[in-house]
Amino acid sequence: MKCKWMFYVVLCIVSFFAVPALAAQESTVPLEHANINLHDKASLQRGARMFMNYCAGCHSLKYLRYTQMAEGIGLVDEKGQIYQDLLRDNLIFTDAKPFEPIKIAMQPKQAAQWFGVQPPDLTLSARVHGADWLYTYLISFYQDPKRPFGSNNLVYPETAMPNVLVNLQGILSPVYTTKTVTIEGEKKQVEEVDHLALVKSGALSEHQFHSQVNDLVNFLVFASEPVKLKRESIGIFVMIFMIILTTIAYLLKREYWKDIKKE
Amino acid sequence: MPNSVGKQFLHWIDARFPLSKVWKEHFVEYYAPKNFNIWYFFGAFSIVVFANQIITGIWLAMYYTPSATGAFVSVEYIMRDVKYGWLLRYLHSTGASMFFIVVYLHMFRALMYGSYKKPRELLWLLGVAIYMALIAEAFLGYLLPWGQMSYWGAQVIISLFGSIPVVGHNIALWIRGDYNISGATLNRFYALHIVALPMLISLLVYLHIVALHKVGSNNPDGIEIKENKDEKGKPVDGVPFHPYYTVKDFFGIMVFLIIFLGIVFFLPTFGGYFLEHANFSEANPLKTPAYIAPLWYMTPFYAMLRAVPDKLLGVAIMQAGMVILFLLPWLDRSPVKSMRYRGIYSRIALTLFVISFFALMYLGLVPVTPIKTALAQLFTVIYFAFFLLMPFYTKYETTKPLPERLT
Repeated sequence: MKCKWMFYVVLCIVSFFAVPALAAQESTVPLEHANINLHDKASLQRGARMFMNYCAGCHSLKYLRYTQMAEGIGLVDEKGQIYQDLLRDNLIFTDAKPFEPIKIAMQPKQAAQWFGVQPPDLTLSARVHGADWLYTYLISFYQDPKRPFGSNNLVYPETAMPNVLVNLQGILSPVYTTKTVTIEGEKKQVEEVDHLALVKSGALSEHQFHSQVNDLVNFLVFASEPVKLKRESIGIFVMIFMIILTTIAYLLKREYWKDIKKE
Repeated sequence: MPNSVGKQFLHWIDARFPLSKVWKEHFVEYYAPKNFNIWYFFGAFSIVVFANQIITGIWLAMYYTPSATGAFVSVEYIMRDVKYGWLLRYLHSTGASMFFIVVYLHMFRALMYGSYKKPRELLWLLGVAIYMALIAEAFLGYLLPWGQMSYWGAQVIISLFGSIPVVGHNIALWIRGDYNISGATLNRFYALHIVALPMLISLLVYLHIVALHKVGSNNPDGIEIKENKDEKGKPVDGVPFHPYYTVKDFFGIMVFLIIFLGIVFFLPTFGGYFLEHANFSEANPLKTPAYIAPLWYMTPFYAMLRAVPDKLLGVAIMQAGMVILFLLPWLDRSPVKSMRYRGIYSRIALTLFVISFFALMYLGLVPVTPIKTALAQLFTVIYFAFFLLMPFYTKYETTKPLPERLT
């Protein structure tokens, strides 16, 4: 009987971890791995800075308030009070009050005219696409004169978004390879982007740039679920409580069942 | 004396309401077989999850806005601005998937130990009715977050009604209340999800338990404990439900809650299976997602639908896949209930059935390819063969002799 119980417990635990995660977003190129660490407040602050400087012109974070952001990225003193001045002077570029959500001034209709589509709100982008997708997307822009803004993307071909980080990253150009593919029984030669090569350096080295984009993605992961760290820390206490209660429940059950003898 | 005051109060109640009688009949003198194994926990678990859904649902309804413009925003409001709103939402969303996990395991238990066989046919029918109501409840609730998958999932499923000849289009229109899924659809789904279906499920659960207590529980040996009573008229292999199974179920529920809360606190989306990634973007009627799939608990039937080239026939097969469960008590001709005493055919059939169910579940989750469609067709055939061939393989196999008493 005991053995059987152990078997089921082990089965539960194994199946818990064996569940393969559904791919957040189908992608034709292999995704680079983003290093996500929500405990790294410095990274979150750098990410917030980058977001406000490079993204917040077009993309809102309308489900996140400036104050929630400040708390999450650690702009708080030891009593948990938000550094209002620090927040207002460095991260609020509009006339928004600190408790207001992070909105943009651009009109949706105009935005759609300018870019073809309205730039999406990014609060939940990390939950929709996954951190790795965002990271790979942001480092995979390349020069493409055929596109309206002169740039294209490997992860999301024909993306409407211009390459806003080009000054930091530098200009990348695609290196093509020819591949033979079979389409409907016919063999065809298709040109495919093999990799991207730097043709003009930007303000940052490749390593610096990737690290900054990683900070930005880290920040977006935080923005997608600000409560995550709190959830996990409460969860640990809940688990400890439940294990104690379960132990007591087991002892109670054993006490009662002692007198039911198997015949 | 507090004791005598308590007793007087109980007398007062008992003169007006059969409290002591019910307590006696359904707890302290309700005899359950003493050899229940782990499979007999899932009924209790499903009641726990049902209670969780009701309670968290009430609180979610306090903050949720059922409108096309407000729904998605209000869910994020619950996740971010409502104190512990995220906990309510994760408890509810995890509860939905866990409900199906425990109900599927509960149903598998019935298949394994023949719990649907005489005299428990009505108990089984009521159980299947609960399962159907639960599918409807989950489908209605899934529209409420108003994400892309909510919207397009509902669009696909309601369009199925359109395949019914002649009246189909009008039925789909009547269900939606609009030509497309819209705020009108959302509002009626909300009303059905929080009032109509929960009431129906509560009633069915009550009837399910009434039917259970009339016939008594089956057990892993599949023999009736009522046929073996002592001189006082108590089943010799039975134990009073209270305290023996109340304490045992309490322990089981605690173990279940460790798993349940573990998911809620550490893996609330469960890798995209309990909360889909695509559902974190707001519903957009102008942007059809490249790939639409229902949540995992409906995918076995979704795979059947896609396996059939003709839409109307596909809908019929999918429906039949659920409705055929009702016939089970009359398809089974075996002289014994439990798999422990059945022959090799039944064992093979049940194994193949379980494999086909999981395979269809997987196939319904992934995009179609010609090979996967062929596989889905194969497993759909196996799924139905389990039921349709049951009268034959259960009749012509050699069963083992039943024991006199529980083992």
